[in-house]
Amino acid sequence: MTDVEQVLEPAQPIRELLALEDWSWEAVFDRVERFLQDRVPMEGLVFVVVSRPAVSGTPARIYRLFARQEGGYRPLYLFSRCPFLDGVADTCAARWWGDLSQFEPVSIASEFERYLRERGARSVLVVPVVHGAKVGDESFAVVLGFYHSQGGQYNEEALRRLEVWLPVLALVFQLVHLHQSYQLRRIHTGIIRDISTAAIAELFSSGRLYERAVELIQERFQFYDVAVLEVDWEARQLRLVAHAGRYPYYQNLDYVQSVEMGILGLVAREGQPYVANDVQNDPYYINPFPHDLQVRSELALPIFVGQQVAAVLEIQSETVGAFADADVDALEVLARLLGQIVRTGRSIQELRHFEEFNRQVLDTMPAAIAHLDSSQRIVYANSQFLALFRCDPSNLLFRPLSEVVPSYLFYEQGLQSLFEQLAQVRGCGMLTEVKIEPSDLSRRLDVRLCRTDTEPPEYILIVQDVTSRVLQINQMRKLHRLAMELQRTLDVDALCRLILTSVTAGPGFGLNRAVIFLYDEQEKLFVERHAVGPSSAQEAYDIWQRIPFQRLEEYFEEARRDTVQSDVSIYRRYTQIRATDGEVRALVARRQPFLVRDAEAESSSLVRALRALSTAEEVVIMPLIARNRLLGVIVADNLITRQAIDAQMLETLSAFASQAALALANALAYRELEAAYKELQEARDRLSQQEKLAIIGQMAAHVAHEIRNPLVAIGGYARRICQTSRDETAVRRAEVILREAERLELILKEVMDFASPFTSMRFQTVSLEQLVREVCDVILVAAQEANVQIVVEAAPDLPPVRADADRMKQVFHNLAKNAIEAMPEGGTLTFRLYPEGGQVVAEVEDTGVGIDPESQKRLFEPFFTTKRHGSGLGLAITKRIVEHHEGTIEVCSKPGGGTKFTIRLPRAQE
Amino acid sequence: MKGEGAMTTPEANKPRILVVEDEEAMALLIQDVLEEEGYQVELVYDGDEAIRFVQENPPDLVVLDINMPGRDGVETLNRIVELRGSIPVILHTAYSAYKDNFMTWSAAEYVVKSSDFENLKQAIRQHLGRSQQSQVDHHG
Repeated sequence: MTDVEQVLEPAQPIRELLALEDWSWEAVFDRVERFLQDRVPMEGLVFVVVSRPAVSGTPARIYRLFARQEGGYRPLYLFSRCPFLDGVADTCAARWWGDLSQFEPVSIASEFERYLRERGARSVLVVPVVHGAKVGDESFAVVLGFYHSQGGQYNEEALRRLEVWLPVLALVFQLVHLHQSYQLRRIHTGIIRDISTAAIAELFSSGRLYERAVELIQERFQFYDVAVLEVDWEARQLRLVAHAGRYPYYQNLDYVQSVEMGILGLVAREGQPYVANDVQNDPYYINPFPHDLQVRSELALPIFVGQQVAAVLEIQSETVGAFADADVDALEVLARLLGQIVRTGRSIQELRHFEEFNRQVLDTMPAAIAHLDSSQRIVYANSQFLALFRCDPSNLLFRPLSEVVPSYLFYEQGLQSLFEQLAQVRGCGMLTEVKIEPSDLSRRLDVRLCRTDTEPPEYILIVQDVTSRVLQINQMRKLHRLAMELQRTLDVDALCRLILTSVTAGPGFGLNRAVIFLYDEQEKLFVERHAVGPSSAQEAYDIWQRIPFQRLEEYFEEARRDTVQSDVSIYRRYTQIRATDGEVRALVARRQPFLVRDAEAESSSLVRALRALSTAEEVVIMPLIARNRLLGVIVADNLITRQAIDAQMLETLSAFASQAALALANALAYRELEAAYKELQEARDRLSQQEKLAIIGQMAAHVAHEIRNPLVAIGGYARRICQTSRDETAVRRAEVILREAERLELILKEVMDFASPFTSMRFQTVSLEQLVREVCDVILVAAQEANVQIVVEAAPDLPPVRADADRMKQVFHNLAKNAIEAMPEGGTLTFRLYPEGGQVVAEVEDTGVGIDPESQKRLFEPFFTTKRHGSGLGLAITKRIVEHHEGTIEVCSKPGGGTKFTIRLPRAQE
Repeated sequence: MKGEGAMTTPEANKPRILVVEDEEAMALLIQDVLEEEGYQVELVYDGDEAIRFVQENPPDLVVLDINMPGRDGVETLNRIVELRGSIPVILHTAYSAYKDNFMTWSAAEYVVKSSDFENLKQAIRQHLGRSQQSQVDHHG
């Protein structure tokens, strides 16, 4: 054989080796054995496929032993530890043993060692076939194990002869490996596709998704058991949610374990796959069921949902080394896919929730909202929108907004121009308090239109019904105006009129009729002060036709002038209702205005009485309460229009009633103040009058003294002349002096009497009859001279009086003197004395000229006189004296018909 | 009473009245009127004189003006009452205003001056009668 031949010689068998049709390990090993049979001395050859886990896990290597059996190579054992092989794999160098029988079997006898010993092998050659530099670098390698029953068969030379072929063998094995991987991947791809398709069908329930997945994995890979355990990171627990297979402890789905333990915990924590191809030699493997020895391999893979491990896919096998790289790869892909499907499902679900949430938010918003496309067509409208514009939801989509909302709102209230504005500039536009229809007086909308930033622009329309807000503001304004008006009024009656005007006027509360009572606390009496309203429909029509006012102010002006009242007939006049304290307290406790329909339902007879004022179906009773004091009550009804008084009206009336009560309290306080002021002023006036009189008195006393002395002297001497002179002319002249002096003296006396204070009246029990008769004696001469007849008519049983006799005489003396002077032609002066009740009456009557009515009124005023010569004090003094006796004096007279003075004095107490 | 008895004259039988009056015209008029009534009238023109007179020669009655220069009527009245409490003093004045208070003074009567002097005459009659009566009683 030439060198070339030698080199080429193996080409043929190599060609044979490579001309494989069957790319299984069994077929390849069969050929390799035959190829090596003549080149290496051997009685038998075993092949061990060494694989390193593609993922972290134990053991470091898995050995799969193939040996000839029944005519062909078969995989006989899977094992993870072997002292012979481990050394070879570690050093990546071939080793041989001359006589195996000289060695004791190693304590951890591997299947490899046991197999050789069983075959009676003494010589053993172990050669690694590695594609790369050493076994550990490759994901797989094949180790050839030659054996022979005779010792010393293998040496370096034998190895050298073999080494020539090793690269070829490496190539062959690599090809087989690739081929098998390819095949597996193809199969796995199909499986993965099927499983993920099935899983996607359960997109929205991770529970069902996992169930379906484990079922299929178990079925397709034929594993002992496949399970998914979800991670509860808060509880730091793994909970079994799905399993398929025969692992008995998973039969009921309530297996829970901590994330801190076992392979499953490790995978959940680390987020890395882990394989335990020989669980008995795995540091992490924990068997929660120690008597179970069924499981030999376990593969655990994290299922990521997003960035987090959401679950662990657990696959258990009854065989050691059950998880080849390709399987692990495939399952890893599958686990990743499952996580993504779950995540997608959740995302979609979240999206759906969000969408639903949005819809619900939009539906629950108080505003009407619509989404419009760039052509102002409706893409979406919430339920408020449907309700506000009375839309048919089935026929709404893609209809232009201008057809959906009233054209008045769209074109005339400015919605259209809002769109035009927004076509130019981005942002929002707003219309406030616009009307929907021209005829709709009460309803108002706020409209907001927003343009989106999208291209082409879309629009969001937000419409808010602000009717109640507008109404409320109007009511507030009205109330404020009413309150201002009421506060300005301090006259109680004018205020009552204004309050009722507010209640009844169209621009006010517009109730048909109202009546106001004021409460008299002392008398416990509700007294009607004012009432407004027609009593019949006809009257109402007549009156309301004639009321020309539009504005509240006009009503108020009219109410102040008090002519509305004359136009409107009052349906009840000055009713009075008595109330008990309890009923008043109950009314104060109710505070708010309230409706009464059925009087029988009311326990308070006061409320029943107020209700009975009206025949209307319902009346509203408004207590007027200020500072917890009941000032009065308003009763109002809609007798004519029969319009129901609603809750909102009551609420506004309540606010009004408190304002009215406050104004009324002010007015009442003002009235009291005014009365007190008036009284004070009167007291002051009286005081100054008295002061004036006192000063006059003092002055008079001084003047009188200064005058009286000379006067007395003049009079006295004149009298002496009259008495002693014989010169008749002188006497006549002296008599004139005397008369004038006497007159002056009389005036002086009266002035002094009037001025002197009655500080020391000497009251005694006095018989008026006796007193009158004494006066008669004094005036008798004067009466006779005047041709006046004096008559005294005294009742026989006349009771005595308490009187100062001198003063009282002065009274009758004055009256008698006046009477005589009033009868220049003579006449009769009658004193009439009689008892009357607890009093004694004394009449002094003349038949004289009488007094005209004008003078009668002023008769008792000081310094008033009808006489040419008089002080004007006589009757004033008389009156003063009588009044000091707690009596009265009055005059009754007619010109030409005589005059009668009547004095009444209290009779003396027994 | 020996001396008095020895000097018995028609003058001596008349009641003696002391008139205290600062205005001479008034004093003379009163004297005229009262002498006509049958009284023996002594005139003095101020309070001090009146007191001296009452001390030296007590009258039966005093008519006293209130408003006088020097010692006024009220003071004089009090002094007289102190000296001779039994002599009635009639206040004779132009002031009617004091009438209500005169009881608090020790005067027997308060008479407002008038040109006919009727009130004065009546008061004198009344009080002289009473004092004479009491004197009679005293002597009895």
